[in-house]
Amino acid sequence: MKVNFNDSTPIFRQIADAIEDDILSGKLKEGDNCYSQIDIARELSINPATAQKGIRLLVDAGELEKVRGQSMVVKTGAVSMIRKKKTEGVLLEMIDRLVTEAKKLGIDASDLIDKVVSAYDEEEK
Amino acid sequence: MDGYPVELKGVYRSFGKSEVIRGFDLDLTKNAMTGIIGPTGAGKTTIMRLVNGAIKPTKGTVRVLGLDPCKKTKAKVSAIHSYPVMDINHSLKVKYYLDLYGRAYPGFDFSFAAKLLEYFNLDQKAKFGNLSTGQKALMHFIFGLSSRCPVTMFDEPFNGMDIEMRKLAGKILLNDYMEHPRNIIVASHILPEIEHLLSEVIIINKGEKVFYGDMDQVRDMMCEISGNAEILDAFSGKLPQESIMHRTKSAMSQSLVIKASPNSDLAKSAKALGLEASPVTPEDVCIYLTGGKAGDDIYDLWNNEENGNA
Repeated sequence: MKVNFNDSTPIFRQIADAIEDDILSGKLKEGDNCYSQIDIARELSINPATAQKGIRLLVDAGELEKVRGQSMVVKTGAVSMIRKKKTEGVLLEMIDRLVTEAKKLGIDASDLIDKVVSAYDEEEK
Repeated sequence: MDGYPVELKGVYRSFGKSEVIRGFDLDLTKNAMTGIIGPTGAGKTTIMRLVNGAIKPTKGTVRVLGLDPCKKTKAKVSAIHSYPVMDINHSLKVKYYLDLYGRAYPGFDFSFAAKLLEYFNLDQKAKFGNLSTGQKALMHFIFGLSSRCPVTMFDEPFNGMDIEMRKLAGKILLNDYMEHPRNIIVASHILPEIEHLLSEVIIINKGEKVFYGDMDQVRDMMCEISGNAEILDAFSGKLPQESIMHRTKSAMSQSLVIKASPNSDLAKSAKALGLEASPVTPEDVCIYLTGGKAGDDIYDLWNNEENGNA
């Protein structure tokens, strides 16, 4: 897990995002124990309360749950929940920014779409 | 124990005519890692000395674990004030001080202290005076940490330490705090160094408490608005004076620091006008809250109008 201390995004949010990325990628599977606040605090050299704040965000979002006697566990359905949330949230924000930038540069919609399509093809190579 | 581990109520402390602490109230959160940040001379050390009973308040009360640290031994030995510039005998050996600390503090962990000394290659048989500045600071830090006092106060602990020592000491501090939860207070005037170890912070200026709360509140407290000079002037004209923390005007840009979150409606309205709203680091928040100079006016230092060198 890596966080950027110079980013304006609060650390606890970066931690929540990083855990969600790991859930999406399958590094953390539904039913697995999530990283504990102590593990995260040690890994990043931060106060455990900050780590706990990030974990709690995901508990409140219904992606992690406390199982009696153990640390937090990745809930069933977390993957599709996260995918939906990020598609409707972060991705749309990125698209807005992309469109704003493209308009600044005088690039029209179909040019932009062409560029996006080639980017997909590049990724696949 | 009910109540807070450390309570200050209406505390004033003067040294002669100088009122160094004024109307200070504090209910310390149990088992937090708390920073005390403020300019030099703000009163950070005085607060620590009040808490460990080294000095008593001129007015008001100080309680540690519910007891007066000036009067009750139990309170005195529950709060340790550890600082690198302690004036101690230079001809005595490290192991003498190890023994001294061990006997003064009931919860002192000798084997942990010995392990730490070895980890940092500090010879117990070395005379204190023969240690380097950094090693002296390390020794004080090691003993302060090993005391495991319920209220452990470090007063600018990393002063004199080299980069590697600081990093290691910071990590060791954090891990020991996780292994043995207790109240740890760290005074520093270099916030970035300890920022991420802290859960909360006290900001102090001229003897008064300016802020006490979560680090995240500090991170979100102010933002910097910049952009076109006319739009900026119009925007700032509509703001209440108290919310403007600072103005900058240089050859290249103009900006305004306001007391509002970068995510606030106020910041959004600035963005809607075409201005930019960017976050302000906790370090800078502290500087603005304590009325510090941000250094924009230094250039006058080189203006030699009398010599015709302007």
